Amino acid sequence: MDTDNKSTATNTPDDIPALSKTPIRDLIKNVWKDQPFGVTVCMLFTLSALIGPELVPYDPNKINMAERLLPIGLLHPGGTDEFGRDIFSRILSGSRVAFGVSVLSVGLSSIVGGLIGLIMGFYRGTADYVLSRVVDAFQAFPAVLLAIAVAAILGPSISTVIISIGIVGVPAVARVTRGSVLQIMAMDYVEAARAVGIRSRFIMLRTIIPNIIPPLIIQLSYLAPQAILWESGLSFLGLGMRPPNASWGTMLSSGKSYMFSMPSYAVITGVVVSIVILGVNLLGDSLRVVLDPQLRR
Amino acid sequence: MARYITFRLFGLIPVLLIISLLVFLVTALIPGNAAMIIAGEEATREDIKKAEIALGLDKPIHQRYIWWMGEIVQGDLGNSWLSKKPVLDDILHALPVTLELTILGLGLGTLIAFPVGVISALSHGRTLDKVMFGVLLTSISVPAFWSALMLILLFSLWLRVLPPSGYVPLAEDILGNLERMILPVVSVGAFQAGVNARFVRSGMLEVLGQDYIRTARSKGLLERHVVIGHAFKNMLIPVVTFLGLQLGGLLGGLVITEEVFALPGIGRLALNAVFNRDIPVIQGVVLVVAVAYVLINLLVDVLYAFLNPRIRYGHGQ
Repeated sequence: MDTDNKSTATNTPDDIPALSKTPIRDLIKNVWKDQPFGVTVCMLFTLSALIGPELVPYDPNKINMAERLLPIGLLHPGGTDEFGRDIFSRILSGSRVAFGVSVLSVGLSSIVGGLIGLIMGFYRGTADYVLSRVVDAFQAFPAVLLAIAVAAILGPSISTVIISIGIVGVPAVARVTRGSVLQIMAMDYVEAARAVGIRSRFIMLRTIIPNIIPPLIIQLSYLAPQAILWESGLSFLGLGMRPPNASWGTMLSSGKSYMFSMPSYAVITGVVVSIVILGVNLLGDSLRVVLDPQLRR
Repeated sequence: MARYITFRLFGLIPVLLIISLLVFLVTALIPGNAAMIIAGEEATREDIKKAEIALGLDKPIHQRYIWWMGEIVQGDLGNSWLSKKPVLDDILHALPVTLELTILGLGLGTLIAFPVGVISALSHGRTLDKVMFGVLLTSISVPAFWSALMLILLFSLWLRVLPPSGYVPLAEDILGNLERMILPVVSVGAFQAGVNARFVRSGMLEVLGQDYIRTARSKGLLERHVVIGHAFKNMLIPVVTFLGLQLGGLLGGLVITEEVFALPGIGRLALNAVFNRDIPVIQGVVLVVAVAYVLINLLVDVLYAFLNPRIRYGHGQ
């Protein structure tokens, strides 16, 4: 799946991508060509998160005990849950939660982790030593337990989930960023910039930061599907979204209780969650291949 | 080599100190009045005050930390506020369950991961690779607790061949234990197989692109020897490190699987402690798991140094 990228129009004979005038458009084009399924799933996911809750056929939180636990049918394409709520509508409404949580938590990890990594790599010395030990300690902290502890401090809510998933991602981002900063600092063009007397703040902003973006995006492409997994997991444990609002994790948790009488509830919800995560994984993988020239062989 | 290990051991001290500080601070921030929980429902104000003093909660936080650390260093993790039993006993009781699940799950995952990853890398770009890569990405996209539910549905509710949940200690009844561990292990193993196979595959791809592989091929070695003798061996080094990290991560990462299958492991112990606000138990579990993670990491690094002659002979420091 991460192959056949060498024949894009922008590549020179040496297989080194030439500077393109439309880098973003080329990136999108390459990813689409490499991974149409992943792109489609991600687009549907985004669309459903943005406008899905507005389009749903039923109010996802409306209780209707007369239509309790209905099987899949024409009126209710996914059946109804233990309160007679339409499962399809709740899945759509949960997609906004999953999308929001993954975007915000990944954003949190990348900003905090990116800054820490930048400081470690750019200033080195004592700052690097101290921060490295802190990052090591955080990494040793069991991620689920860390998330659970955060949830215990802040109380179960969606912001708890975002913060805990965000914190869990920080050490990895910080390490990767530190590594790429060190790598770029050793480049001749950084030395050249120093030699002509450019101030180090300027070097950091103009030379280092733009060059650490691609490895950072690669790291984020690993974190995004994980964030959706975590969200459903934490909500499943009862630490995330509170009822009656729909989240995929809480839906799976109540689907579990009705697994014998109505297995379709847990099955459908789980299949949707898995397909979305697979789509994000595929897109991420494809982004990695397109962004990392070393993988393009 | 001895110098390297000593060096690494000393390097652990600051990390362990920061971990202890983190554990203490995070748990100290958990709201809910511990003294009220201990004193019970019908406690008077004096009872609560007494409980507070007994717990040392009237002291400033830095004094409490030093006092707590003093106990930890002596191997005393305190008593559970709920059961009043030593936390260490609870942990030692729950640890074998989690260890068994971790080792079997990771073992199963690794057993599948090696052939899948290697074959996928060797057929890079061909249909076989694409199919295998698709399957392994799918296995890491399915939430482990959901695949657990589906396994219960299939094997316990429909086929009725395996018990849905519960635990029997290994020492009491080996067959009963294994029978109850099959589904959790498969659910953990399937996910780990995907994670590890992806790593093996990319490691193998990287090694296969190295100059020494080209040299090995151009000097006329059989492809079989190139793959097994040159590529596979070099790919193993990062994979060992990776598996070590997975082992450490799984110890504290099986909370949901333990919850779904009602296995009395340390994840479930910690989860219940969080719901009950039983701070000493949370502190104990998190501390034990984090320290285990750091120690496993150290072991893996030593093993890495041992496998990699550049570090073994002191050039890598």
